[in-house]
Amino acid sequence: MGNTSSVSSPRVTPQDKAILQMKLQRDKLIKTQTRLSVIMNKEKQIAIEALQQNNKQRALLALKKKKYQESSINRINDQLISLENLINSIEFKLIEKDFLYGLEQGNKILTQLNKEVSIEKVDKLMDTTQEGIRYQQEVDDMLSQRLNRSEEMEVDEELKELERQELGLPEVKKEPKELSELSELPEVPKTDIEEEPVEELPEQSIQKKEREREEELLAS
Amino acid sequence: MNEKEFKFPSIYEFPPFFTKQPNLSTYNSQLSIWCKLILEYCKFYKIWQLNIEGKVISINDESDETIGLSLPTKIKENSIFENKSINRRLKPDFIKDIISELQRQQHLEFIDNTTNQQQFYIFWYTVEEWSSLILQWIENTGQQGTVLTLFELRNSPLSSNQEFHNMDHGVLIKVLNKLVEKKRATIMKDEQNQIVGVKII
Repeated sequence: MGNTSSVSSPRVTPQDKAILQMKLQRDKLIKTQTRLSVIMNKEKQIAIEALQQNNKQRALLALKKKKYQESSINRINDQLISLENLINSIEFKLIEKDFLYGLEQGNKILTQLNKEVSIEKVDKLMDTTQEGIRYQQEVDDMLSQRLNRSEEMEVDEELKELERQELGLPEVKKEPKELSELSELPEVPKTDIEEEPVEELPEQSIQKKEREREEELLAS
Repeated sequence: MNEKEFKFPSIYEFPPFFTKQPNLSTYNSQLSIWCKLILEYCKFYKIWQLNIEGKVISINDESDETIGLSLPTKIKENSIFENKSINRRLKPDFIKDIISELQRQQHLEFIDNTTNQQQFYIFWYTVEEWSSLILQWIENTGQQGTVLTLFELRNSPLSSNQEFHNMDHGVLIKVLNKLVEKKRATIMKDEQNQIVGVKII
């Protein structure tokens, strides 16, 4: 037998005690009610028996008693209902209290967290971040500048060499690579064809002259 | 209350069942059948207390009048240890054996262990099992942390279909103490230091 309220066993609060008291009252009412209904039934039986024995007065008395018990039971019923109501509302209020407490706790944590995430702090943080970014950019700039200076000459030379290569073998390199130039190609022969007869003629004439010369030589 | 009567096993009609068997293994099985029979019998009639003669102790504490705990008078007057139809009854030393066997199984406890070993509680569920049953009921009905009176626990309509409905007061106290041990309950007392309520989580 121990009323041991140790660490983890449920704690009994004054409210619990009050509720217990009310519930005990309720139990008492229920018991009284049951007792009364037992008595009531007995009175009814007595009335029946009395009637069977033709004892009307006794029967009447029993019925009156029964009526009285009945009204008592009804009264108790009303009391029971109001008591139950009270118990229920108290229990519900307790839940509400817990609920409010929970809300309060949540709110507290929220405000605390908000405090930790203050706007100034965020501003400062963003500033430092921006500074960092700026710094990084500066570093980048500096690095790229240095690269230019140190390797400017080399880059220049490389460019020149590339240019030389490109210009030295311009057609060989360009022709297979670029379709646009391929499409331009057909124009070239046109001019050639026009020029060709002019060029051909001397050649042909030379060849003709040579042939004529040979023929002349053969003939002579 | 109980329309049907408890159906005794056929061995209950068998005269040698009532005498201690000389062969040890026969005796052991005889003993275990007796234990089982007693527990089933008590469970069937919701008997919480027996005396050493195998008779039901009718307890009339204040709340029982409301329950109308009415066993058939035949059951109230008969002894489980005696079968009048075959005119056999257990000898006291055999009864003692049965009692100590039930005690060993935690299905029996003397009401007053010190002076008067005449009456005992029968736990057709052990106290441990009862405590889990009650805990489960509390959980299933969402009553954790609610203050309950013992009367409520035993007699409320909420518990009417539970096996612990109308549980013996003394047994209930034992079960509740078990729950306290498990740190799942706190017992509440009234001004007369009587246990009247309990808060179970």
